[in-house]
Amino acid sequence: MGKVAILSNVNIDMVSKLLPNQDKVFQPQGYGNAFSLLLNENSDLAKFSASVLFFIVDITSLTASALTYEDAVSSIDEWFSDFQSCVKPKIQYFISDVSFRKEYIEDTDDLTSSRLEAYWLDNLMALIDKYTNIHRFSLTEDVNTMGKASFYSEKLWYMGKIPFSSQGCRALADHIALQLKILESTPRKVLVLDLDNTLWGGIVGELGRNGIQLSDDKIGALYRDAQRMIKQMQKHGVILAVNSKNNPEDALEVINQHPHMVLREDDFSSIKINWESKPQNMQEIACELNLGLDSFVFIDDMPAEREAVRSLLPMVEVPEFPDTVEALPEFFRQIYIKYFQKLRMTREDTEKTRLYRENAKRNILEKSLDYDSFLENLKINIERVPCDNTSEIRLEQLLQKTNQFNLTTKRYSHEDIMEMKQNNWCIYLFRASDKFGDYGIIAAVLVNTAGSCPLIDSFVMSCRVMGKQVENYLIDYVESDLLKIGYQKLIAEYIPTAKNAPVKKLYDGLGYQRIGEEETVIRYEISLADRPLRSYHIHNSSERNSL
Amino acid sequence: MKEKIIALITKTLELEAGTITENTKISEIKKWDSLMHLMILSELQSQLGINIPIEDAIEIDSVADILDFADKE
Repeated sequence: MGKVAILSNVNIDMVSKLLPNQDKVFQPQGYGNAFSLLLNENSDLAKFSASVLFFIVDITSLTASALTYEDAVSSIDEWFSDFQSCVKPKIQYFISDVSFRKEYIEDTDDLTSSRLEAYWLDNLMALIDKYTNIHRFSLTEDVNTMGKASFYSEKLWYMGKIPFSSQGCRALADHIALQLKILESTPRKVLVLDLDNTLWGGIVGELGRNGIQLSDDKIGALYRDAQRMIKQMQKHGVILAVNSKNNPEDALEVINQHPHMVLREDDFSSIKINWESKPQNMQEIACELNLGLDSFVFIDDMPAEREAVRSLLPMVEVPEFPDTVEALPEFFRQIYIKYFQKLRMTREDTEKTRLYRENAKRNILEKSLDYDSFLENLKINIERVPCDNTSEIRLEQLLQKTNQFNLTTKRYSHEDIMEMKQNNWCIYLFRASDKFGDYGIIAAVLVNTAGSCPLIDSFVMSCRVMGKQVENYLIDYVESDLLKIGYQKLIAEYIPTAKNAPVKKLYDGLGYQRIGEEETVIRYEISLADRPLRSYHIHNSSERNSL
Repeated sequence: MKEKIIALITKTLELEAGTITENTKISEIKKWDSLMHLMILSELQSQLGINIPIEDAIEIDSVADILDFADKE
């Protein structure tokens, strides 16, 4: 865990004290002076150098002296303008939304308190749009779950300027700890689902299509709502798959034809309905989707099936199944928060299901042809795209998430990328498509041009296009571009990690000469004018040069 | 109730069982600072329903004071 500081305009010490890993939590002296602590370079907070900052804002105190909506608005404006003057790159900020402890005295139609909460939220959204390192912390979710009467405490407020009860402090600390965990863990990608008693009630093989529980009321509606939750997850980029012991005809009939099914065949990127063992099916799904099992979460109501997957495939996350049906929709929401939630979305996420479905089709084609004709047949198209505001988000994501095809595994942030652009690094981003569809932006090569000889600082490629000789083309493209600019030589590096063994010999294979070998890094060099011929099958139509 | 109150105080302060007795004074326990005192008051209210009003709460300086108050209720 990185170092974290919890700041507030009220006494928040108790929340800080309740967090795990106390040695990495800033222990503030006093409260209410968060901004001066932030701005003063000699403050305890500055010396502590936190990498994550939480701002828990008590709107009641912030606007305490305001008598009108306009007065309160100017207090909020002032807070946001103060905050913006403190924002630094390389720190992740979580800013709370707000909830009045005590609402204003108002007539039925005034809505002052609610309007101010919304005004805060609008300002926060504007900040989030502007800075990629600012995120929302949902204080209101904790307040709503617990209720104001339990979350806040008048006694503690008047005795110690702590607005929250002991329960409230604990809820906040738990929520912050969860948020930190999400920030540091790599989100999972695939949700693998059982069918009977998971997506619907009962066993379709015994009860038939009309006997299962899936409907618009009572228990059937719980399963429908659970499916709606899963559908929302899919919209947020989670890849869905089915792993079920059933007669495929029975189960597919429900999936395709049952009037209350929310999830249909097309929503699943891979479907395994058969009498094979679940671990075996799981491996086939991974193979088909070309994704590691360590990105899988498996949901099954049967303890024995969960145990089988857990013991044979320990890298798959297998959460316990809820004891009661009514817990099911919320269970899936929590699964999303715990395993899949990310801080930012790009277009590729929303299109993932399609991408992976197309990939599964490609893999079926792959089996039936010899490899060169397979690649030729794919009609792969690679296009360089400019590094602009839209593609930068994807670049950051590629750098953060790519583990296998990642030569140096340097996890650059958005601000780092901005700096590279300022320093005139050559940034190559590539989009790929083939006859089955568009992969989106799948690779990046970052060339540091500061030295006398350019250096490939980072080379990452999505596993979706691995094994298609795409890298040969990409390197050729970069080299010929650099040669055109006037460089004669190019340096490259491989930094081994636990996961990037697949590219260990990449530069050797591309004809680079080893010029230095240490335990942590192998350095290579190539002369740009006489590089070897490499084989690839790229059908380019619209290449855009010199961007 | 007496045992419950002592157990609650011990747990809130994260101390070993037996550290807090009905004879303990707040000043004897290093961890029992003003912040923890507020947490204990809040826990008494939410978990055991013992609501000590502010004017009484500031007078409290021992476990016995809390037990007395709980008896009165």
